[in-house]
Amino acid sequence: MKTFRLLRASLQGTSWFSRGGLQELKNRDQLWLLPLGGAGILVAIGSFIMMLIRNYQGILALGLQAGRPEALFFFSILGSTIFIFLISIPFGISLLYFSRDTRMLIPLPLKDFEIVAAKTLHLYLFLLPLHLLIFIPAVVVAASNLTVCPLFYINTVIQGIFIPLLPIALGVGFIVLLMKAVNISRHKTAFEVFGMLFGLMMILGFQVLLTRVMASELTGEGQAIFARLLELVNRFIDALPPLKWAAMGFFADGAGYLLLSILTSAGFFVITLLLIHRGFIKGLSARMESQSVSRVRKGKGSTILRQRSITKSLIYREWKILSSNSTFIFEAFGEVLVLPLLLLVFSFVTPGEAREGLDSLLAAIPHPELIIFGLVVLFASINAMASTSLSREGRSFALSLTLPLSSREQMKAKLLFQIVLFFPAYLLNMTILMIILKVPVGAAMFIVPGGFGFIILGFLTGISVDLRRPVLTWSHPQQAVKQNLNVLVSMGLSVVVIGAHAGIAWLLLKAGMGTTMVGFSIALLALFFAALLFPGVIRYAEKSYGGRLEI
Amino acid sequence: MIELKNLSKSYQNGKVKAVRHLDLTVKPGDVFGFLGPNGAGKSTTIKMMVGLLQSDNGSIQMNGIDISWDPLGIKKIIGYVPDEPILYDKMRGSAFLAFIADIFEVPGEKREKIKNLAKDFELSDALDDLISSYSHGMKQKLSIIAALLHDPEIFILDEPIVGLDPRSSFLLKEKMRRHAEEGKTVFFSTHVMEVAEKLCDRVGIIHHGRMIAVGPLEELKTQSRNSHDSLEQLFLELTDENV
Repeated sequence: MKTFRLLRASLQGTSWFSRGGLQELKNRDQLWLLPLGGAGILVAIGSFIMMLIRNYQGILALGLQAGRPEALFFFSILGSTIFIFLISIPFGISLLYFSRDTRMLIPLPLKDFEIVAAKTLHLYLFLLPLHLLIFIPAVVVAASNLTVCPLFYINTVIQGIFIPLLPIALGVGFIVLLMKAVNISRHKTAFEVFGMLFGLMMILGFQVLLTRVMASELTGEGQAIFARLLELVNRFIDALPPLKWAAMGFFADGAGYLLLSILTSAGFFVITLLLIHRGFIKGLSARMESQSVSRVRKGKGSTILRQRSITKSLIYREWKILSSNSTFIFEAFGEVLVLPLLLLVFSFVTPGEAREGLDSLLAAIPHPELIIFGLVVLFASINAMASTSLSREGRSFALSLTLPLSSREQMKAKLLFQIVLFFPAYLLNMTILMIILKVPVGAAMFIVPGGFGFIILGFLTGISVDLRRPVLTWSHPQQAVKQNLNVLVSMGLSVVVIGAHAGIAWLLLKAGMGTTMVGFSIALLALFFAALLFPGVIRYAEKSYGGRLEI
Repeated sequence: MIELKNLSKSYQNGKVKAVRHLDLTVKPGDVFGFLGPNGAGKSTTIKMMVGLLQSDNGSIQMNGIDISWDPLGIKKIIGYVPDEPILYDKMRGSAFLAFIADIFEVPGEKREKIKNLAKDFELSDALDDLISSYSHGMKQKLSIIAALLHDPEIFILDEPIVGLDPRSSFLLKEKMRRHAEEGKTVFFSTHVMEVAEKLCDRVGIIHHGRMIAVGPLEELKTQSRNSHDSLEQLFLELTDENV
């Protein structure tokens, strides 16, 4: 019983959807986040389900042709199992080993099993919606295309509940082994960044695969791929018996398979818990001990003797804050790399014939120099870095307030850091697009300085928003970045700024000015506005650094 | 020299008066103990003195510099130890001290002193570790070293003894005393009456945002209605809600 009491407390204490979580949102005047977030999630879920249904219809047709009607259920269960296994690893590590309540739980009179079981069930409840999201569309497709028996509905409910147990047990088992083998505590940030990148590559890979399959239907490749797929379906289903039993349970003669699949999932889950709980608390204590033990013991502070300029020190400070956790790192580099990544995926998913057609399409684009200019400016200027620059400091912003630094010095360092981060990315994106669109190198004469101006303008827009009302009392870095309204406001303002420049460019073109002259004019305009606004932002910053922001 | 004149601060649009018309002068060479119950306004006063909060009314001057006219000038001459250490967790101890030294433009040749401070506070071995791995006491020591490394004219500490081991606590008290003997000003808040009694030249007791007693300890003891042997008894009498 303690396990369930613990599970309840854990859900109440950590989830936004608990009474306490809602109360906290209300206290922060952030209840509006719920409908906004809900609407966003609904749109994402809706498009995901549409994509799944289309794929499930294809798999059902393929399965029927191969004489394996269970293929639809099998692949939906396989998809859910793979996703849940992969996602259970980072979330499981966080819940089992880095949860804030761990220090509180260890001294309580709880058994290892009770803690492990409560946390694993928490993980199960967290991942159950994902399973249902992948599984239910398959059931809907089957119900609307096949003749179903009563066992179909019974199995739907049972598999809806039981299927995640198997991948979660596998995931948790993997985590425990991993934690025994590697001290992740010491490389937590690197591990998280790697996990996020891996997740991103998984999503992109999945998209590549789907697009490739869909594109191949239109070409001659389709027939050969189809034959190979039929063979693969047969092999796959026979190779994974527990999933095959779960899939077979949907048919009239599947009662035995249904029982087998329940016993396998539940049995595996319980056995895994029984195996991994031993020594869990002892391991946690040892891990905490190793976290607090000093690792580097050389030099004894020789860094102190090295003198640096104030600006360099402040840029170093900005870097240390940015690299202090995976959320900030991913946010910064995700935005820097988004265009090259998009182009990479595009190059993979575009079939050969379509690529040839694309070349002639690109050749017909008017004013490609200005299009490139606009695109790279858009990717470099619309980011969350400036609008969270003060917010990222969090409570340590108090230190900035007590140091003898003028707001000019603070702003200068933040601006230089923004340039160091985004200008090389801007140049890289520009080069890639210029090669793809075969634009003369001369266009760089206005794209380079113009980009410099727009990066400064983007910085000034974002930092102005953050100077007004930074989020300084966050307890999780996500609150400083992803849940920070400043990001949305600043992105909106940046779009307006870029849009206004685009409007001016359009008017100049309409008036008969040449492309290059328009490019130079826009670049000069951006530099002019950047130079004009910078002193104003410094003056505004003086108020924020002069005690207006109380912390 | 610290001069606070008619200093006031309220929160929640004036509903909560944290500090009310506070007047105070602390002369160079003095160790001043700022005492008061929880929520009396000690930390608010200190935060206004170091520029973390803006006062609603009144003025703050240090060595003749007014904080509203030259906040940077004041920040350059003070060393501040907050009640909760404010540090960059992902920096190493040495990198953090180097950062603070850079900001205060401490020249390279004077930086050996910082290493000596770390040695005094028994932090040398941990200087190249990440601050996130430090205990509360170690963070507190690092915060004290960071506040002292530029040899400030005015040393301001908010509850500095909390979390320190006996040796470091003794050492800090020694440093505070020596700082005052060099003609500099030391201002600190504390709940530990024994510390204030042994260390301070003058004390001030704040209650509900008002300064209810200020002066040399012996003078305060004689001024009270009952004769008291200890500062603790005096403090309890002055802050007793039922009197």
